[in-house]
Amino acid sequence: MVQLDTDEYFFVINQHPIVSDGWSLAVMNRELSALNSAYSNGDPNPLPPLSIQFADYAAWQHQWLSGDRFETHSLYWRTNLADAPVLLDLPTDRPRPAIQSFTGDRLPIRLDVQLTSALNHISQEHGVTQLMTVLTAWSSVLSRLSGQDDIIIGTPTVNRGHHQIEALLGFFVNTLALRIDLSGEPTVRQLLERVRKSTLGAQAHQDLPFEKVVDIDCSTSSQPGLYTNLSSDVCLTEQ
Amino acid sequence: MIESTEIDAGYDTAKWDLELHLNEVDEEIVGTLGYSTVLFDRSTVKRYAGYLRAMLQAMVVDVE
Repeated sequence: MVQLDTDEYFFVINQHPIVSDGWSLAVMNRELSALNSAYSNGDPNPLPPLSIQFADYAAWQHQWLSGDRFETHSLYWRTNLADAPVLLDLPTDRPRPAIQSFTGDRLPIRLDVQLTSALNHISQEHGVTQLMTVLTAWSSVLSRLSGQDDIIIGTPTVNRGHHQIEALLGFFVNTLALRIDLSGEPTVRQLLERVRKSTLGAQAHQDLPFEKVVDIDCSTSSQPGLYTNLSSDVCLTEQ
Repeated sequence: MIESTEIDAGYDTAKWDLELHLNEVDEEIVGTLGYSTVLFDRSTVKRYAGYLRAMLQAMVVDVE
């Protein structure tokens, strides 16, 4: 905790990703604010007690994802990712180091009101979501850059489908491996449809944790072929 | 009244080679294109972001 001014503090939290995700950060931020406000006014803890804890969820998940259900999900991913390319071969500026590095940076992106509205319009016309439309464009770009017509893009899913786990802190987020077929020079319409099918198929089998999918796909290395990632940011206020 | 907000700590990691994070705010799609600085120069990623924008614009024209 660093004091910046008489009424302003800088509170630094460092978390291992294994115990957190984007949703958790929003929950924690909201709860810290609520507790802060209450305690400084001398009020009691305003937060409702949790009906379950992460350990309860983990135990439930372990039991739920077993037997036939596990087999069905595994079969989907095994079939869907069969013979998938191990790596998206982008033209990088420097060769990939032997030991993976995680240092990065970010470039801001902003699409103006006109383009956003036009994209929402074509999404609606084709019965796809905004995410699917952007995925279609992004997969085309990645396909051109890599010269590959078979690519996999990882997309996170919040995995908070039950109200009892909405208020929990923990690593719930899952990564879906979307395999996109760009062969045969598809038209925009055709590619939108392929992306739609791929996304819906993956979402229908999202309960299998990515780590298990990686185990299935034995042909891949530590970072299982999913070298790019597309996500719609997760934000509690939008739920 | 106490308010807390998240701030950008200016510390970035790249789990993937390229990471596209987008969100619609005030009728505009905004976000970031994250990249591994070990593999890419900023100018290259800027070009990639330009390709994405061009592709989205082309899709709008093509479909309508």
